[in-house]
Amino acid sequence: MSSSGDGREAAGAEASAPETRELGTPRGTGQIPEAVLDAAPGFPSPEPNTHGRARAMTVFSPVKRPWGRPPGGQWWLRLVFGVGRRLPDGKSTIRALSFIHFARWIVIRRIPDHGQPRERLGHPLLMFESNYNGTFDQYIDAFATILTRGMSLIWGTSYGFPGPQPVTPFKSYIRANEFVADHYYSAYPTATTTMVKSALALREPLRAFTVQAATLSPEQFRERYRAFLTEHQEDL
Amino acid sequence: MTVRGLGRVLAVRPPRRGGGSRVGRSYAVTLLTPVRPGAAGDLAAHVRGLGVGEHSPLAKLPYVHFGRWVVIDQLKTDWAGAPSPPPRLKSEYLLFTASLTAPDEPGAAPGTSYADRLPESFLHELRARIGADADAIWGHCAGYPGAADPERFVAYLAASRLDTSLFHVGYPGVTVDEVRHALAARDALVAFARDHQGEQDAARLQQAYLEESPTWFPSR
Repeated sequence: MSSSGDGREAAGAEASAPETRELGTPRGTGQIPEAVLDAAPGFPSPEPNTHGRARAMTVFSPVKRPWGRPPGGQWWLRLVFGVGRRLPDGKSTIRALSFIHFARWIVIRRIPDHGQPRERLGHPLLMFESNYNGTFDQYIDAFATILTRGMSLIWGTSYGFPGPQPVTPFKSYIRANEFVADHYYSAYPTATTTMVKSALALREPLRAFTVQAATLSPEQFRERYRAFLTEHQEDL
Repeated sequence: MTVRGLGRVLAVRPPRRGGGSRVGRSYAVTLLTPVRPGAAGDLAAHVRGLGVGEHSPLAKLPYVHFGRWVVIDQLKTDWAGAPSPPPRLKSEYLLFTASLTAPDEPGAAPGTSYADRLPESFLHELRARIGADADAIWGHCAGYPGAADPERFVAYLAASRLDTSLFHVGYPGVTVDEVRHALAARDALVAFARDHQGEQDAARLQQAYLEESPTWFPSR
């Protein structure tokens, strides 16, 4: 899981924008017509696992025993995730996937006990959850292409993992292990990850420019306003 | 990563406080609770019928970016390479997850801020803001004590918690409100640029900007 780069600039991680892209239009590809989403932020998506442009993924896979092939099982995962937690943010390959809002991995060794029949997990479970934008196919394609090594490091110890390439068996594997969310919520469903990052990047420069605007002559203002739009056009 | 690089990372970077569930002020809440025998159908129907978007109970929790409920009836093992015999669960389960970012409270004494008290601070808030929804949902689960008793409610959900191994936060240290405000300011600037694209009079352009732009930012 080692790479670098700002996710907003990762080539190939998200459908790239044509140069003629209109201001304010997202570079991600939502499944629902943009006009519908923009007009109705709470629009109930016509398919499960989605809320607006946000999409949920929830996958469980059983982890092999430590003496399986490849060896290590949950102990290997503990090492991989331990290293992942210590990586500086810029060194995490997942940052290159510019359409993931939040994601988590959990190794489940024990099911919480509330008096139900005791569960004895013969195999620990690896849970993966993601909140992303775009389609399932785009997501898995990008994951398999950009995170190839990281995917093998993490899912290599799971039963049946076919490897990230070729991608079709990998998609089938994820589909077969995926659970559909019965209720899914996004606090800003019309926004893609790229839109959020762009808006956050614009926040302080815009505030600074607005403070400065009142001190300028009209001609100075027009010049700097145009320069500001040009300088920040990638975030608009 | 090279062996030397790995050694450097392990030697220099201490483990993140709070384990893998915490990244700065962001926290990954994951709760797994057993569903009472025979109640999974009703539970799934109830959860699927919850309001969407601003009508979702989760919309009442101000620090939650994303959340979900998933009813797990059984592990999926119908695929090539599944272990034999296939792992089976004895009960059905309700999975709840939330990705949240606590507010920055620079004046708070150590250990007293919302972020420092996670996940208990979130569980208390969940009870206070959506206690009735929590009862209607987790009331289908074995051992659920109800939201009327704060301590037992929080203890139950805390005991249902799964520790996260690795948590990815796309935009660390930013609350839901900050994201919404930033998106609104960006949208407002884009609208302004469109509306005044052909404005040739510098004084009118500046005047319009000075009138509109102060409304784009929340007061600090």
